[in-house]
Amino acid sequence: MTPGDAAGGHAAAGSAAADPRPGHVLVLACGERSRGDDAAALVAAEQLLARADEAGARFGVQIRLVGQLEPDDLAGVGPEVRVVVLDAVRGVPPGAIIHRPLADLASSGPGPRSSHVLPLRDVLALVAVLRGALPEGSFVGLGGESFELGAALSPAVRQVLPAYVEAIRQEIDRLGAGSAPGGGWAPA
Amino acid sequence: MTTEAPSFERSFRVEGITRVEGEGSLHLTVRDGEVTDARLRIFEAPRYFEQLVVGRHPDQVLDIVARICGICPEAYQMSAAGAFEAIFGVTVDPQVRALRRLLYAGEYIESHALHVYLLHAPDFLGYASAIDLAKDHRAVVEQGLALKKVGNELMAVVGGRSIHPVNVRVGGLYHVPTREELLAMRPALATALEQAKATLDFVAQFQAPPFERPVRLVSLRHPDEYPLFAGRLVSHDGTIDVPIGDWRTVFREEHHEGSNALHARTHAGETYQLGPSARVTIAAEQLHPVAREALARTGLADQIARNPFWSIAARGVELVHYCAEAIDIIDGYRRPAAPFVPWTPKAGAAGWGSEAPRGTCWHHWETDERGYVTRAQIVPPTSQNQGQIEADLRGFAPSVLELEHAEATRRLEQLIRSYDPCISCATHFLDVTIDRS
Repeated sequence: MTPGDAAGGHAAAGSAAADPRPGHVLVLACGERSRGDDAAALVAAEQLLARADEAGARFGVQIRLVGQLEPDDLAGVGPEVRVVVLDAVRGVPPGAIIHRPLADLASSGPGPRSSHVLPLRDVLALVAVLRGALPEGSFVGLGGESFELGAALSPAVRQVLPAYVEAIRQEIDRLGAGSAPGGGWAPA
Repeated sequence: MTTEAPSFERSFRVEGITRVEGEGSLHLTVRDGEVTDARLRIFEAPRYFEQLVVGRHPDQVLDIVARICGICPEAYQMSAAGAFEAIFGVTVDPQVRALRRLLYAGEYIESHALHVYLLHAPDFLGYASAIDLAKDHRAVVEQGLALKKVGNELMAVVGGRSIHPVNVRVGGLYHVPTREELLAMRPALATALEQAKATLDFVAQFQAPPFERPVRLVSLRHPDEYPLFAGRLVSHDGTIDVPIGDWRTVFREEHHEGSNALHARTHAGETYQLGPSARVTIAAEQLHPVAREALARTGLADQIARNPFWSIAARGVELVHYCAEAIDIIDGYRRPAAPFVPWTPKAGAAGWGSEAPRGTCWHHWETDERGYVTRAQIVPPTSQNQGQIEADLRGFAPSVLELEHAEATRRLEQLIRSYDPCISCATHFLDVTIDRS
């Protein structure tokens, strides 16, 4: 499984609430708009943001469009904040929705080292070393078909996008419910 | 009678989870123990952008080209802005110009801190990655991340956001910060300056592979400032000295078999080296006094000019320079009356360049009478360095060929990384194939 391409790095930032507080959920969407299905997570996050006034007000969910995940995106996250990282994925069927604990994606051994950026697995592993542990959370990915420059979302990804958004929403629910006392959402 | 030695190919793939796509490979051909060919294949995004911008308004173009690279967007923005301003006869307000330098300083701090600490230092210290480095030297990595964060914050304050800034427009900026907003950055920059000095002292203790070779270093040079987006295009040996717009009179792009990237050479077919080593060598006199003193303390100036591995020290010097210059700009800042100079569109053509952290990024733009783009040429630094990278690989590879593949690959990657190439903007992994006979 391979989170997909981000030739351009960070996209615009967006937010549904103030900084995440204990019991809240931080959503970090990765991707590059100009590269076909690599925009899938950004588009899904924007659809979530469209409902964010309600979700943010009720639940304190924060959604950030980060493009390329960087250590800073996770370094300051408090121990009780849950994190959901979104990205397009290569190596699985187009349209497949992937769930993984964040810790499973962190690199644990030697591997390729980019000359220019830190890949997702390295960012997660580095944050784990520097913080002592990764924030609790999960990766929700969507299998992409085409990552060509200038391409739009592929039909396979467009078709499954509503289901992907719903899968993210459910993951936010699951993490938020699990983190708040009594099994409910912590109010913003 | 001669017998053709059986040839065999040993190849292995370096692969993993990254956010980037696999389009990079290195193929070495070895005959009788001699490297006869070295080809670094690189996917190159700017070719696509050259077509995308045709028919666009110049201010749209500045936002579009910033997306070519998430690490060095300012290089593409400033080169394009300089060309458009040359076509339209625009002179930017001096304070706005200083803000552009401040924005670019943020990019340098962010890019160099990332490269020095998280990408290149592990090569020198014998670690497989920054993660392993962090396990043993947590404070070192945290210092790198702290420096990087200051660069990001500076870009956000001046550029609107840290990645793909949106504040640059033809004639100046869309918005200029208040003096108070910039002064708020000063304490962090003062700390960063001390961290940058420590960075240079730290990397100066590294052991670089003994690989010195003659090379032609090329960068912009300006009599009054460290080269960024003005001056003349020069070489350190004095054989090149032309106006910034005249890149084409000295260099040309050419297709190479097996690559969709264009390579740049001099018209005589010679390779050359861009980037921090070139700038530190060519513009040593224009370094901030604090950086000049720091460079002198290392005693590495000569080696920076000859050994590509010492680019890590040149980056350290530039970290010091841009932290110090950023503080000076903030201290002298007076908010301009207007963020930009109005301009009148016209048909024309101009070339312009700026110094990306990894070398000169040169553009040529043509516009119609409405000022809209009719043609674009974008020459990124990596395509210009590529010939020199391959030449260096040919020279350096014999010293590692007897090593196991993994170690040989690591050493070759270390050399490639010395150039901080943009390959990983679109490269998922580097395939290394050694073809021996």
